[in-house]
Amino acid sequence: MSGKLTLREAREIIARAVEKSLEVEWISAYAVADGAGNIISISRLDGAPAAAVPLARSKAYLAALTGKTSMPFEHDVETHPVRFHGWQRVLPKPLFGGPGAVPIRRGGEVIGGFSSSVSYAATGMQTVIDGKQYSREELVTAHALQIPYDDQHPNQP
Amino acid sequence: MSSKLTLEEARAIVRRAIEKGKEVDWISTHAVADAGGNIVSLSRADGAPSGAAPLARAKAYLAAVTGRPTLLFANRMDAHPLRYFGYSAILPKPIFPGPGAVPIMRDGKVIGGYSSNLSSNTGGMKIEIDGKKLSRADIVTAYAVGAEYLEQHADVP
Repeated sequence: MSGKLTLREAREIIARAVEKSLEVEWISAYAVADGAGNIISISRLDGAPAAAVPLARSKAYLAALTGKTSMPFEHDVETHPVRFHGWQRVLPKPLFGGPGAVPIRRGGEVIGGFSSSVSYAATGMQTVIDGKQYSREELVTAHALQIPYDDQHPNQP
Repeated sequence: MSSKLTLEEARAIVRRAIEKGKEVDWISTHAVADAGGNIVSLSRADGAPSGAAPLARAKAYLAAVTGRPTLLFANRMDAHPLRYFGYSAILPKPIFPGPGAVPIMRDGKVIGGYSSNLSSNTGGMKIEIDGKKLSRADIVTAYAVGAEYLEQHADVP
């Protein structure tokens, strides 16, 4: 299998994201970028906020370029705000200092990035399943990429 | 010997960086700049995140033109954020106020700058060697430029 993420794979990721988002009520936009952060596919659900598109695109870009979730980036720029401006100066596309994006890996290598973003879900970020609290966004991400659930929004109600 | 950094020397630095990077699992990009901060050689290891290249270039540039490890600059910009914008306005190339880069010295004089950057490894920045936690990036740097180990990532897990 090629190391590159194909359009078909990107669309499958988004199809799974849409499927899960309807189940957990996270009505957002979903972006899949290649290893250099360029968008392969992006979809905005019916009813998702317009701002979800540029935010998802920006976060997927960051996860692809750094090879990490966007959580450590957010932590780094919160702790050292001036570094955010450094990143903006060095990287050619707009960045967003928020959690939720993840790199897409194959064979240990980063081949892309995925992110959703804001949602109109009236009930907030958290949902309760079997008595346990989960972030809706990360449930969607885990299902979309078929990876373990990793909460990047523990403090967001 | 000329006081200028030659391409052969720059490539030897990058070669050592890639060799040590494999050993300690720091799969990154390695940039060597001359004393004016202009790139002499830059290599991205197979599997390194794409964002590592522009960041390594910006940090090698900064280490060369300031003649100091970039941790000192990063700490100073954290304390005086407005100065970052001053530096950005004055210096002609993009700078990044993060730690990790070092000047390359010969006979007490700055002849260049070196930096690696982000890595695609999933084990974080720290590695345990002989019961001591060390930074992967700084191990690579010390070996690459033939300098003593200098911890620049104490707060990065």
